[in-house]
Amino acid sequence: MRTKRTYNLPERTVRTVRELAAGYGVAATQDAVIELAVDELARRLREDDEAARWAEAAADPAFGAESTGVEEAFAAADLETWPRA
Amino acid sequence: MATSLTLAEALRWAVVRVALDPTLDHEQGGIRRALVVSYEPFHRSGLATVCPISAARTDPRYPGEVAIAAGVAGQSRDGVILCQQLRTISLGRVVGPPDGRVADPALRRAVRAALAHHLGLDIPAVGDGAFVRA
Repeated sequence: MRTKRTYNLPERTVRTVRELAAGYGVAATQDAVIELAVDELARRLREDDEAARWAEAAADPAFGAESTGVEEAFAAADLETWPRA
Repeated sequence: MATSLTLAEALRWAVVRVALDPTLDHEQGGIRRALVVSYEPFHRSGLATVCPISAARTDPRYPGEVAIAAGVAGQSRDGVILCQQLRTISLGRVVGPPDGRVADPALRRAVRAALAHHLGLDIPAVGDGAFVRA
């Protein structure tokens, strides 16, 4: 489902959206350019946040022990589905 | 090791016990529970993709982890589905019939979301081909 909304944007931004769609062919429509840009921003922000959380995990002995435990437990099973060259 | 699984039996969303000893004919210990998440046709290959379930803790702490409560799909204790530890295993390692099935749509959605998140499929990245020149 798509929803129509109105945003007040500076002329510079409106022009850039138009250029990205028509000039650079980033997406087929200006709506699609906005969608792509917002998705990319959301993804980057989330990944920045989660990179910090995963860095914490790397320093968390309990997480390390759990990961090593799973890796060791599945070692033989993993070899069966990841054949050597 | 004999498995009582049949290919006619739907495996997706089943919680199964997986024998993880080095050799399939060694039945002592090394049994872990896992949630089958692969789509049904894949199981015809003799393989299944699973997320290990940890009963060592009860609360999700990192992205890709989903809580599974005692009583759900044969869980005897609260646990955590480790979607970030996704792996494909031989169905020959599955011991006995499934302990149960995850039937709760909310829990299925949570696992699907965690997998999509972990694999970067939920928000298309420009570098992954979402950027398509018209």
